[in-house]
Amino acid sequence: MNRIVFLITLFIITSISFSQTAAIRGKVTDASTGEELPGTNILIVGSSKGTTTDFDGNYALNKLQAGTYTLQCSFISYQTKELQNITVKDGEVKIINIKLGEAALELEEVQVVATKVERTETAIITMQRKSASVLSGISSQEMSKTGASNAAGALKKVTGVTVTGGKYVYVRGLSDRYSKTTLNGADIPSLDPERNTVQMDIFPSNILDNLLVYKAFRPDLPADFTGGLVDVKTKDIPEKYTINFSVKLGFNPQSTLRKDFLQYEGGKTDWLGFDDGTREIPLEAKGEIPARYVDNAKLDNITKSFNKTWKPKQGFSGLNQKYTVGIGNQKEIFGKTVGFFFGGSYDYKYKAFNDGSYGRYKLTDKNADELSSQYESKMWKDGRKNTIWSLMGGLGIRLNSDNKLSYTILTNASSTNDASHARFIDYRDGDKLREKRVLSFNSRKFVANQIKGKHILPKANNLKIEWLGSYVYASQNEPDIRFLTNDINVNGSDTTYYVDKSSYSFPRRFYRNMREMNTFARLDFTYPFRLMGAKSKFKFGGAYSSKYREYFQNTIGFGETVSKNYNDIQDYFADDNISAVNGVYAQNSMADDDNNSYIGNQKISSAYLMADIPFFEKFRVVLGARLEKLFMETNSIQSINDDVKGVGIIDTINILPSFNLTFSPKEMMNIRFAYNRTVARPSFREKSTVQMENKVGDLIIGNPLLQQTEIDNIDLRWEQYFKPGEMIAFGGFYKNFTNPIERTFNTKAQNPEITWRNVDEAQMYGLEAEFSKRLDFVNALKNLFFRTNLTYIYSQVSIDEQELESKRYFDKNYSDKREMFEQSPWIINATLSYKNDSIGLTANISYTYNAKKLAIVNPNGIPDVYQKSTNDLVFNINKKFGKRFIATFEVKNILNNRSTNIYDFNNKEYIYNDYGWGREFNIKLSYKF
Amino acid sequence: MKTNFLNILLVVVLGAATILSSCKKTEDETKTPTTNPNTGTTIAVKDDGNGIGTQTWTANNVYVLDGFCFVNSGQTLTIEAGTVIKAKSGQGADASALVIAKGGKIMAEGTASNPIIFTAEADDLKGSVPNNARGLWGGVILLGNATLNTIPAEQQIEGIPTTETRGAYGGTNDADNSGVLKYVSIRHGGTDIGAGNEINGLTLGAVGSATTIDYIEILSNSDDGIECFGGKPNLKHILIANCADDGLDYDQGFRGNVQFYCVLGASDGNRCGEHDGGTSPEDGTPYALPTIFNATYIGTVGNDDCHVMTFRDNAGGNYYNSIFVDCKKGIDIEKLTSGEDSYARFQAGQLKIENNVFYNINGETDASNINTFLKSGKDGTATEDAVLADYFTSANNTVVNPGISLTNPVPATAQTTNLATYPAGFESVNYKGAFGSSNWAQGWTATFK
Repeated sequence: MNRIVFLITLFIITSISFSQTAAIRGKVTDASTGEELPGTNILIVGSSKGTTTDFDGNYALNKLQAGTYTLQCSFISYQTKELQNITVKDGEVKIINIKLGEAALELEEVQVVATKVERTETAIITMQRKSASVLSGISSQEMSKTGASNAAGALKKVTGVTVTGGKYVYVRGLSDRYSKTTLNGADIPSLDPERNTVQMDIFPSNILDNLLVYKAFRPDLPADFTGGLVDVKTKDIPEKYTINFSVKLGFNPQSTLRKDFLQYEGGKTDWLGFDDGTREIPLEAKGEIPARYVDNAKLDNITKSFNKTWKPKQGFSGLNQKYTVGIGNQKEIFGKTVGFFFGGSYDYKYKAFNDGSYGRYKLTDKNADELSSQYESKMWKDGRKNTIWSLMGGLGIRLNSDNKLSYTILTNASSTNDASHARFIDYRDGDKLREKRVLSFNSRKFVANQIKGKHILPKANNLKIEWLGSYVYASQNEPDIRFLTNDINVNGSDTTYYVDKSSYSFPRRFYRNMREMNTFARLDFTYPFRLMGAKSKFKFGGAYSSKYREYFQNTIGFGETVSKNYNDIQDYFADDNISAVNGVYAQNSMADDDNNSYIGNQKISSAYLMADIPFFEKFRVVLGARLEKLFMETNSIQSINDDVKGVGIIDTINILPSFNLTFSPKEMMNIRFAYNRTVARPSFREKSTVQMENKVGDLIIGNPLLQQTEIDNIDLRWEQYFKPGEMIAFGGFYKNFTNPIERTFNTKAQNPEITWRNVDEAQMYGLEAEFSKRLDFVNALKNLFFRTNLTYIYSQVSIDEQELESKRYFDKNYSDKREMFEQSPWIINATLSYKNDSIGLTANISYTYNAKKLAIVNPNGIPDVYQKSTNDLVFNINKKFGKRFIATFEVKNILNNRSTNIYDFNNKEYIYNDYGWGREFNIKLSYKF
Repeated sequence: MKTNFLNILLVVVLGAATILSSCKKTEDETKTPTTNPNTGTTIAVKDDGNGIGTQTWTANNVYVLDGFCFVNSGQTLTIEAGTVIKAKSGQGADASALVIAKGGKIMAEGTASNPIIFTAEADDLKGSVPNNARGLWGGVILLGNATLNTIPAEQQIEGIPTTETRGAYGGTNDADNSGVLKYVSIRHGGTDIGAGNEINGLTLGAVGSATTIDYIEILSNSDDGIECFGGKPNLKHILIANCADDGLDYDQGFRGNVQFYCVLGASDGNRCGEHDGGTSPEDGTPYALPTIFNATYIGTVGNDDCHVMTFRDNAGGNYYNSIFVDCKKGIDIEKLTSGEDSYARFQAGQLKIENNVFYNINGETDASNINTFLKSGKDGTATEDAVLADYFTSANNTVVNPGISLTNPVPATAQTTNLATYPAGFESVNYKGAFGSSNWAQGWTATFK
């Protein structure tokens, strides 16, 4: 209800904004550092109208008459700049961003014609060039120029960043464990609770102020990232009224407009990303299900009360659809500048493959020269319906040029409705033909609330105070996941089906539920001062974060008293086959039991000090340290009995030093050196002993003894900048991991059991190159822009003792080191863009290469599984129609890349699994004002 | 947040309590049952993480197992003859089972007139649960210190998460002693304990040769009757009836002596004997080389999954003076294209099937077709099959109808000729099969009341 009121308010404010006066607004920055310049005087030459910029460097000249103006921009110790020929029409808000250069020996005035201003380097690239540490990013101006509709699209334009699957961002090619995403500097959960990185396509670009990608730690950032930190900053107060919306329709020959799309009947609200109750445990079955021969009549009634759908069926699929809307404006209310934005998106997508395959192999003994097949499927189909929607709103108020408050709310929900079916031959048990079906529904959501403020105390030498408080609620609900495996008995023309429970589990349903609450607060002080005449900064502050998570699961098995043959396996669940005495019966493993739940609790308190000091004109140093105190515990069962819980506690204090030195021998050149220490923490899941079965049937069990990883990072980098947007950079990095967490397995377990353990150490050596260039050295190619980044990473990690013992039985010389899990040694990203403003045409072709990487570690001499290299090619073309409309045509996965995981043994490849989601063709129409 | 705090508090209190109680225990290892043993009532048995302690269960009470109950290392559970132990139902982590951990002992010595019975809570022993009901609770698990052929040498018994260290078994003492199980009937067990694992009627993990296992009935288990993971336990007078999987299953280097082992197959059962050598790795040492005399395996006609035996994963083993009837398939010995396999064990003289009686295997009652009963499995070809057929006919195996059935395993026609000689450690009897002229299972089992 509150949400509706909020929306209505937003629309009223929107409609007010259509008043017919012109305005000029923009941002003033330091031409050499890219920093915002507060307190700059802006005057309209030849009038009494004028204003000063606020602490973000923003200014606004509102309520102007249509006409042509000249602006004069002046600030003490900076060259005064005059901008001529700025024409505004009635109702128009013109954005003029201004850069001021520091006054050299004499004060002189610079005159610039406005039309040229837009061509100059955007603030963020200056910021990248002038930043004290390695960071890159993209500003809202650039985003609107590139036409990217969401943050994921925008990040593709950032060098050194890889966007996979259209949404997940990898910085420096380091795996997910070492990445992090924040919203306005505060933690936000990933929709997938087991991932660190957030799906970037949920943020519409017009509500973003900028996206910053930090590749090196600084004391004022949270310490738990090693590869990269992506900070999504939303606009507090948009410069002018904007509205955009888009409609996208997508076609995939494998999954859309088909009659054989694999699916099953779900609830009526599946399309909204949540279950309407259809998948809940039936009322009869809530609580303890009586054992057989205790109350058979009651038990039979309970067994009958469950939904009877276990088989996916082939049905119709429509087109993929995506809708986005974004509105933003600023308004004077009671003399205060009030800004707001609202963004929303809805995405519905069909994904499918019909030609998947998988297999499991074993190495029987050390004399075997080939792998022995366990089971193999050559017919594996999957159909998924994905829904993602998000709503986002913000309200900002500038109380005066020294104080600003803002509020942001982001809510996000997604669901995956998955139906799969595989037929396989089981060679372990006499070459039997078997099939497995999985029906699942996964629904995730989160609501993030943030309130933040920014204040400048002019009396305290312009001390800047920034604070933020956030509360996030996140949940994941997986109601009624159904697993059904059965044998197929072909006897001439007669086919029957039965459940051979001695070879696999009875049919089962899982109900899993997770909730997480996250409170976060931070306070930062920035004190500017001059040291040897250079503008320096002293920054200090602290943060507190508290995270609480609960997880429950409930498993209900459908046993059979005596194995029977069925004409259709669906008959297994038929009412007349349900009987505790002679048929099928339900049996549960309770959700309220400690065996099936865990509680996670994490508290991080941190404080930092840092100084940012330029010296000897060509040097700049940022140094300081951050203190982080972590308390983390997971309460889950460790002993088989209720009374002894597996309490995995981490209680440590880390002092994390940071030293970043930049040497700029020339104006456009940087040489950087950095040393930083960071940490990586286990997730609650990884620390809990709850057993979970994944869709492949492997058991996953956490390790309460997991400890935090500490990482020492050294970076060396050379950067040369040319014309706007053009640059070349080479860098090398070294990372030393103490106690890294690696995914491994329990060799003592009788059935595959995946777990995580801290191993001794790991090292990573990386080489990076970034290059971007407009191809205007040939006139015909002047509209083309080429951008690439290459990363080579050599990693080595100690192999867990248990794992090594198992490997060395089969190969005495097996190395005690291997590459890090999910770490590709080579990552190549390249984009060629075409842009011709005169005809409103842009086009991009992007290629991403990921070399073969370790995907699954295996016990008992079974070769580890590697994911084969992937080649992703994407093309899009955008044409502007009139001033407001853009039509886009896009093809994704042009090379029809597949995900292929293999065992490699004696120069022979064995398929672990292989599937591909097919090519995607999208058309999009967007409107922008 | 309040619950958080309470949790921490709880943990602290529990932790302190654990430390205090463990301090106390060193002085007095003996625990008394929670209620007065003389009242003859039902006594709940629950493990608080410290094992159920050294105690004696007496015949005048009924003991009800709630969850996994461990007899920890250093503890001894004594069960009087005639005691009935029931177990709560539940699957997954909620299953109930009795586990004798490494270093723990069970002294369960029943008699033919007063057997010890393990059954489901719902069983009133008067017919409330029919004989064919399976999977109502877990089972009995003995874990010892004998040798396995796995890497690592210590393993975790299936179904118990690796975080529970009391689920470990395997060591170096083949003469380990886990105690005595005599005249014990284990009924209606085998619940699913997660990810397709079911508890066997009696699981023997690395149990040593000093353990006594004699006169045991496993009735209607959802998994195997008895499964031996490595070790050297000796099994005598065993009756397996109506179990959903295999009659005798061994793995990880089992080397015990087995005599008088009777499997009465189920219509939906699997193999009478499933014999694996090693799993991780398959060529681990010591090899699985048990010796079995006087087995009687009765399958079920019309059940396609019913094999006499399968030898695979490098398993060896010798069968003598035994009777195998009414199975769809005979014996298969795994042959792989590369690496160690059971066929290699056969060639090395470590797998022998000699002086046995077969009848009605795949409907075959004709003695001249005896060469079809032994075949090579997996990647085996006609070459190996021919070698096996030659061996089999020359190994004193015969096709004769002994006149036995699921309801009466005592042969109508005693098989007393052509016997293999008994080595030391075996009782020298003058018949083939588990039974001579009388049924030793009569009276104390549920199968033969």
